Amino acid sequence: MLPALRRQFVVTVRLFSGKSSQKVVGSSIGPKFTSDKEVEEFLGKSTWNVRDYVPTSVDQKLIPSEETVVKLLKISGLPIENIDQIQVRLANQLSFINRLHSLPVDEDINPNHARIIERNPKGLDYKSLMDRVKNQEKSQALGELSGSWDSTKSAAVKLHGFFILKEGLLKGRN
Amino acid sequence: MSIKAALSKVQRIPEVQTHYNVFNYVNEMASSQLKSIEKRNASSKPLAYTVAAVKDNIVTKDMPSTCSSKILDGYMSPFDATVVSLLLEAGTVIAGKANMDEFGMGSAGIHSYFGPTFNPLFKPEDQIVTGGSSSGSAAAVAAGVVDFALGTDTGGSVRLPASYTSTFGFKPSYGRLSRHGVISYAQSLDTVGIFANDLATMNKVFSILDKYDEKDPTSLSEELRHNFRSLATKKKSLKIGIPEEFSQESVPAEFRATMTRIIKHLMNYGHEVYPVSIPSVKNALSIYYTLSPSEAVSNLSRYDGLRYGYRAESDIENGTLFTPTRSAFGPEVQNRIILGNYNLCSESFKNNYIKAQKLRVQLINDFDSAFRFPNVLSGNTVNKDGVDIMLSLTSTSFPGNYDEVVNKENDNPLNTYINDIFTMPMSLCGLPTMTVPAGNAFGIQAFSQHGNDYELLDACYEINALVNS
Repeated sequence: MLPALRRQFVVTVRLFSGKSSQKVVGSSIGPKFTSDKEVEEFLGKSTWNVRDYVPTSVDQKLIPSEETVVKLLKISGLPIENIDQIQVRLANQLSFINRLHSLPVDEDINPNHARIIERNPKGLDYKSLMDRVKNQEKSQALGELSGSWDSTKSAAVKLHGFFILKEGLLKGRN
Repeated sequence: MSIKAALSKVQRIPEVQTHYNVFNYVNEMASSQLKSIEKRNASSKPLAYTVAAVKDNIVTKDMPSTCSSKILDGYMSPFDATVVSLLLEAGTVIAGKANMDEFGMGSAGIHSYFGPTFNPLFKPEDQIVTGGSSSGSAAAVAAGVVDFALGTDTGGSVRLPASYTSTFGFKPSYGRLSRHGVISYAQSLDTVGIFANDLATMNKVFSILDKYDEKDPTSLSEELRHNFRSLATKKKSLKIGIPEEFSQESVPAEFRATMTRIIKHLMNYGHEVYPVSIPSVKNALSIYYTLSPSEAVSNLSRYDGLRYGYRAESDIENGTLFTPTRSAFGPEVQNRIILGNYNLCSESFKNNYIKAQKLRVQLINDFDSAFRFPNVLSGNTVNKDGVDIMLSLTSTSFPGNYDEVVNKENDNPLNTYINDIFTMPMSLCGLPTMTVPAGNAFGIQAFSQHGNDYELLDACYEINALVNS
């Protein structure tokens, strides 16, 4: 916050419910600009530098183990290669996002409110739910077409509604 | 709009494509479709004789949709995205599918299976980047081969390339434009946006696309849209906030001088301008790069080769299913999948993902307390002394040369992540934001409370007039 403006800013401060020693400073609006000089002074200064977020060297403590990287690659369905490079890259990324750990936050906040949708939507009652079920129609625009997919198509042996699926969907899996 | 002007645009596409690599797919039928407008009695439609580009992550049934990824090579959607259907019904002709950073992951337009897009404001041999991820959409408008273009904006992907190409780039409020048929990157952030060379076109296209869509579960309901309209007021004098966290020492002097000049003009024209501080804006990058890769992991898990696009010879490698196919993801996409899975692992889920969600709510609440237009979705207390719109720069620098950008990114990928520092906070809060060209290859952003899109558009007319005065 710019020192010249600090005195008159109307600051919103929220207190933590959990850790009383920490507080979260909200937004604030300063007094209206009245002269060109004030505008120039305001724009001529910056209160932080985003470059400070980019580490100049890799923090060795943040380098994940080879075991962790292999696990991540497996659950990602990605080839297990270039592990050294991935370790360094992840360490860089983590130095950036781990800043979150030390930031104060109101523990009472509902994390589901992060979605940009109504926080308190009207509840769906039994009657309206049943009405929706009753009036639900297949949407051609959404590809909901009867007979558009034959689930037993890949079975070579079919007889009287019975089928034997030998081939499977996957290739190269013995 | 005339048939002659439209045909002349389409005829220039091959030359522009050769020099700037704007499209992944060019619609060879565009000229004949324009010529048939009269025969089809479509000349009175609102967008008749206009030509548009559509970002390649918005599906079209008559053209491939690839997200600039090998993994979707040759994929044809069985349906049009809702925004595409609305444009076609309004009479526009789609010139092609625009190049982009693969799956929207990038801010320079350099991460495409089809190669980088270059900036038409500069000579092709200079190889200046357009910004991304909606690189081709911005370049098509800047080169004048289309009247407007659709892009998508997850963290700045419309506004940053708009700034680098001196075009208007509008990211409406989250939920305004349908996402049905938009291939998801991070669904809580993805927003369809519009590029144009003038505000009249922008306004016209936006009003056509601004519709509730039952096929999109996050589409704003008719009731909410009605609430926004009833809350909007025409004001002669605006209260404009300048957030101090959007000021960085490293920005070029020309940016700062232009911003100062515009603010002075706004004051001279009777608007009230206030300094604003939103400290939680500083957390936006860390929040964004925690949440967006986590959502991307889920969205990209469907690419196993069985249902869409490319499929490798084998479905298994070293005991891991689908690895041969998923190796087709480009390096930046692979990086973000790995990071997303790290964030979602049980060890880091609470520390990273849930914490980021809470900090995102805090950021939304902080913007709510700075605007005087209510946030209908959050229901937070309204600040009657708040501002109507806010202004900031869109980019921290001029666009760079391709090799320079690649080298910087290879040095440390975070160097490119920070390009979005001025655009991400609004994405996290779903705020309507417009980049207005302010000079050669840079722009300023005007933004407002969620739902207040039309007041913002009105304000942009005035800001644009002052930029050019």
